Amino acid sequence: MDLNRTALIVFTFLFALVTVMGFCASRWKRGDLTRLDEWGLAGRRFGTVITWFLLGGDLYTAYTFIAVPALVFGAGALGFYAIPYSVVAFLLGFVFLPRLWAVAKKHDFVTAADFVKARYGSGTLAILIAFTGLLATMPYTALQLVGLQVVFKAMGFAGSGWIGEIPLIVAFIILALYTYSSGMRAPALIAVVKDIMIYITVFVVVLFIPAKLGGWENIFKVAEGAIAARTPPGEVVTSSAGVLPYASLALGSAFALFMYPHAITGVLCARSGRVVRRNMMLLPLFSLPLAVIALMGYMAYAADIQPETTNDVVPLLFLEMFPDWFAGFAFAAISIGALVPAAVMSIAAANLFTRNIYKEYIHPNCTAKQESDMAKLVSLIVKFGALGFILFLPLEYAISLQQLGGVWIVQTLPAIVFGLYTNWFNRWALSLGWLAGMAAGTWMVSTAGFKGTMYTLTLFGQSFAVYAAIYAFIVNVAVSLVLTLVFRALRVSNGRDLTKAEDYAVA
Amino acid sequence: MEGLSDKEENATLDKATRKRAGWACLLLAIPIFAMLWVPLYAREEPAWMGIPFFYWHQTLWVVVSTVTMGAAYWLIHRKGR
Repeated sequence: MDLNRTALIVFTFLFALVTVMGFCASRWKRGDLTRLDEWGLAGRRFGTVITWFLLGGDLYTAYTFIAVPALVFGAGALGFYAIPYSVVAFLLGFVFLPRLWAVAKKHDFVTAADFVKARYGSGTLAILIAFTGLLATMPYTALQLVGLQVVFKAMGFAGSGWIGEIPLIVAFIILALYTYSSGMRAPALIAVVKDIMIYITVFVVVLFIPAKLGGWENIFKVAEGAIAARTPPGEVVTSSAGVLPYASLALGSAFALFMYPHAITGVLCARSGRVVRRNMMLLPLFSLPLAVIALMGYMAYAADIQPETTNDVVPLLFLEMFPDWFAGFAFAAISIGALVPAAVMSIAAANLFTRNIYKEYIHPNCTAKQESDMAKLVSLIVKFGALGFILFLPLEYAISLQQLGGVWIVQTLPAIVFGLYTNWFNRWALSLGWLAGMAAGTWMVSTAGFKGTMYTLTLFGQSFAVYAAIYAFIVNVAVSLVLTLVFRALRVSNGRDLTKAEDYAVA
Repeated sequence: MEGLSDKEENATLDKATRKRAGWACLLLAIPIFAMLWVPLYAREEPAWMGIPFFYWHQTLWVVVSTVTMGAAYWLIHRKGR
């Protein structure tokens, strides 16, 4: 093994610092950690600043920081969809998330499925929502390890079989332990460090790399030629054929973002609906570093980087452009960046399982302590499941499942978001709409051999290549609408709504 | 508002609130349109510092969206009329 010692020393120091913070976090804003909303939502008491750091660290995942520039490197302009996607997600979240926060606070909801159950009086619909959330979260958690993996590889741990994976396993065990003991407080505290490190790294990238590579003009010129020569060829500016895929990917992903359990969990940790709204306003500021990181896909061409896989683009660029000590700092930023979302995702999955499966079906009379103990245990299981996923299965499986997960999670939007405004929809209509959307989405992705999420629909002799999540969403809404009308005509009653109009008010 | 009953005063307030909410919606819709209407910005020129329009336009809207959301927030949550 040919280790990069300087980078490794800087990396280890920062990683150790964060580990200590993770364990100490249990004492921060002290609460009774034997309650689920204390362990799994940090007592819903984070203010604007902490929520901003937490959500920024949670939503802009390490996988994003690796996969977006990888996509820009591989396909060009398409990879930049992450920018409109994130901003549109916040604009939509600005409208509906404060309502979700308000009703969740009022009724002690910990998950979106809790809300759906109370709103529609439907256990079935609630379990479908919980199930979809778990299904979408698992591969996403697994992919966070890719962020750690590529960094360890770049520091020289590659190609030595099992020994090479030891740092990954150690890092993940540490993460699992402090999440177990501190709950949401750990990722919230660590997110502050992560976000500051990401900003510093990106600042240094903007300041030095373009200057070293002959300016932005040269970067784009070199990239334009190189990317057109790829198979299949990419493009630096979206052509007319690329418009629909670009826009629909951005919109569909924006629909998906706040349906993900890790996003909802982060939002519910806020202190008030207004804190949530202020955060939607301020979170786009994280898309500025993301834009720079995306463009690292082009810088790699100008720096003549030859990555083994596109995921190696960013770490290799750091090694090429920076002295070892700063590469170590940037590597630590990425890997600490993986810890925050991985922790929140496992907590969110644990909340879902405990609230909507364990308490609902297995042990309805459990005490608050039994409930939070179960959640802690499940968070461990989720993390080791993710680790096994990455160590024992080909990476393509996790990537395909994560892409499918995006299509699937959008299918929970009608029940959750429409439900925040009306209880007009019938619970069975929404359940069948979900089923239709899931089936349609999965089928469309399967026609692409589970390798892509674009589906081309030919209508009136015109073909429309659109993100499958959008098509599936249309199917879902259409079925929910039509069947609600049918059920109303047949006088099938809606479930009992336990919420009142004033519960949704954003004070 | 001297001379108005509570009910009338509430009705005027409601109307004003609704009007403000309408403006807030517009402030939120504009950036969504600007970012999702791809033909608007799918071009190289005018480039800025060598960065094609496609990239700096979208990055600029990141900042603009924060400003419009700030304005929408103010419209929705400011005290009184």
